[in-house]
Amino acid sequence: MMIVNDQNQRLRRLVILALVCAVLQLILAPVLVIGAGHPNFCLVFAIVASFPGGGVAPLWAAFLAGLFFDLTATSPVGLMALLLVLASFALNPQDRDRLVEEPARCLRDSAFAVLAVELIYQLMLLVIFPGPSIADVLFLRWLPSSLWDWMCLVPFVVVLSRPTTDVLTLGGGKKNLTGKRYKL
Amino acid sequence: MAQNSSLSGLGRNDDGRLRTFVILVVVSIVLLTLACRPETKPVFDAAQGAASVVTAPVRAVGNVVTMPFRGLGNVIGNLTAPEETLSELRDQNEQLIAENALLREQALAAERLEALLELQSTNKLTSTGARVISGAVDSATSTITIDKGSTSGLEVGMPVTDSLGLVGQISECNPTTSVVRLITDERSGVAALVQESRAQGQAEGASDGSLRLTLVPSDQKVELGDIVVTSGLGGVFPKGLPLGIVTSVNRGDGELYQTIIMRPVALTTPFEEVLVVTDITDDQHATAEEADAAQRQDANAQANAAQSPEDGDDGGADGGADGQ
Repeated sequence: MMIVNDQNQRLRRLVILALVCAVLQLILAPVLVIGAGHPNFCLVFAIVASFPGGGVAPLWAAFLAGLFFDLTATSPVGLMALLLVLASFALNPQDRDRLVEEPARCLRDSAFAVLAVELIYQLMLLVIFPGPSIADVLFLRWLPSSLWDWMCLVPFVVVLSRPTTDVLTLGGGKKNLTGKRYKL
Repeated sequence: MAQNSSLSGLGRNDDGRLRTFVILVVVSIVLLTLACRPETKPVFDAAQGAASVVTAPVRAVGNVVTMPFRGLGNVIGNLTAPEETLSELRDQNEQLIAENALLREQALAAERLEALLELQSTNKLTSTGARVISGAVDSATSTITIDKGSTSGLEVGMPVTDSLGLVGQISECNPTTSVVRLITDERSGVAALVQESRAQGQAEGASDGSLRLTLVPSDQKVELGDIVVTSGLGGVFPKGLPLGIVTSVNRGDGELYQTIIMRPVALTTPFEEVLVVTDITDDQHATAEEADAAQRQDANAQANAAQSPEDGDDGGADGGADGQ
């Protein structure tokens, strides 16, 4: 059996996904508004990138995505980077390919991750920039933002969890009979 | 045989991954700490400004591309519209098609005149035109980004208006772009007065997109539908710019100040062009009489509070002042 190294392919797909999410963050996020909540495509990217595993790459991807968000938004630099690194590690601590093995759990866990990251982010901003009431933060920002994030995340997880998909399979190609993601 | 497990990603073991995780967490915390310190904050502000400049072309393109989708909210309403409404709309559509041809010609003329708009003053304002290239990308603030910055003579603090009224104030100024904090942002504060009764207060933003008129004593007359304009106190905003229309007035028993909610005059529809007020003349500041009136209003409120100290300790402010 010959195992093909798909490391470069995985990285290339990660970069493409990052570019797509960056463009969506700049173009689409300002337009999509519920209450005062916007989707965070950097969070979506960090979560989606964490599920297939892949060593330290998802952690770096989450960190850089968070930095990109911090630099293009008005929040303190480092805040979203910190939260996304924590979320990325927490979602896949054992570095498994969860996207192919357990897509349903990925969706469930991503919902928890979105809620947690957005809640901590909003509360941290409330501490740093006092002003809005806690009710406004919770009901006009946290819940709408979380809803947006999850709605934007679901299509990514569904598409990327399909083992035979040829588009941006961060999970890494087709599965063989043993369930390993190796090409024969 | 090229054997290199794809499962190991970049070839790091678990220890390496954990080490990377710890390093990135520490780096993030260090960045966050430095970004919040007043001494080092300007460095990060500059970095955010640079990022804003670099991403401005993408945002500008996105603003054009997403323009047709901003009316998607109307689609849901249209789906449930009754037949009578649809018939009426069809008739209107025929009229609009005819008018459209005429308007297209006028639009071409308007485009040519737009270049001159930068040199014109609207409402006797010394202003420069700018295009909106993006809204806020995060949910923490209510801001827009415009396509002009310090190289066009803009500065932090300059008021921004559209054709309807005050929009906000420049909060960040980069070389080619500027971030405008909208009046609906919770951190915005504008000295304001009720046009009818001349009652003075401070307009503040709220998370739900409305405005609150604060510091208006309970003995001042404010009615539903009253128009609230900038008062010119503080010298930041020119006086007389429309801010909002009063939609709710609540005078609680024993309360020192009224709770007044307004609907913003501007910001109600998507806007593409704005005017940045670059200079305020003397006659656009509040007059000495108006400043005296504000002080008398505050003095009366304080006196009322002193007469009935049990009524509350809301404190006072100098009739509201423009703030950033």
